[in-house]
Amino acid sequence: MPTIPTMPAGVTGTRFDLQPMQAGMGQAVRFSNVQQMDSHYHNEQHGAVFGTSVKYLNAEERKAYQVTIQNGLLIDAKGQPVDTRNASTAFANNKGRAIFVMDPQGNIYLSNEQTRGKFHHSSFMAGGIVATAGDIRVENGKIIAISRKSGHYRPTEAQITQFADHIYHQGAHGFYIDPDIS
Amino acid sequence: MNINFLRIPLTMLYGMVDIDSFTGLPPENVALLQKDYSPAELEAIREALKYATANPGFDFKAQFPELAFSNRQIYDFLVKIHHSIEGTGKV
Repeated sequence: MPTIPTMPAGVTGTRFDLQPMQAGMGQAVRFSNVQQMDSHYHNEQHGAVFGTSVKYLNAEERKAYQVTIQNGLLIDAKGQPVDTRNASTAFANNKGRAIFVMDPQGNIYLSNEQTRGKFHHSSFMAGGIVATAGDIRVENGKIIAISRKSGHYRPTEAQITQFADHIYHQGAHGFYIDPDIS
Repeated sequence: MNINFLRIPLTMLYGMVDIDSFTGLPPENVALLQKDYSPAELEAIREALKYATANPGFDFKAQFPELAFSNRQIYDFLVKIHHSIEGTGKV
């Protein structure tokens, strides 16, 4: 019988070990359950929301933020294991967590930098649609916990579950989904 | 004074469960302000917080209407942010 590890410090929620329902590893993915950015944030890149200008990445810039799962670990664009333990910003209550989004094709983008008013979930896809968004805690590449906390997108429970299914299929196991804190 | 700058600290309220137990920014977070923001941006944030502190009747909820906190709770939150920034003398 498999043993369930003790919940890591600072993590609440349930461990994700359900049978995945998405397409299998290696198959093309296209998520139809997507989320638009909240309209309150329109023109944030021009300073209309926060006073400061929110960075919107173009396709070339976005590549630097893409992460992949290799051998069960989350690996950054430079080939190094992701680690979010030092992620922090002045106006943050999610210390030790990075922000991430998954696009409709299943590509995952992540940033330890999340300066409020300058870099948000909307930055990755330049305000475009996502298949999910939230924050994520990773230690030496191992995904510890995920949540759907994003004021810009406020993803649904189904959308964080489809992300969990997606990364589970790619070999990331034993992580937790934080409860309803969107 | 640009009131939009208030939305920067207000983003903290997303995911916050117990707003009433918030006591202000910890010193390590205050220390990050100068890394995260230019002097002009910091001044704009401070001006917006100063205005908020002096105007409890302002409609703070309108800044992010979907937040599930009362206007008074948001006001108290902003006052604590203001005090933690101004109280350090480092910003």
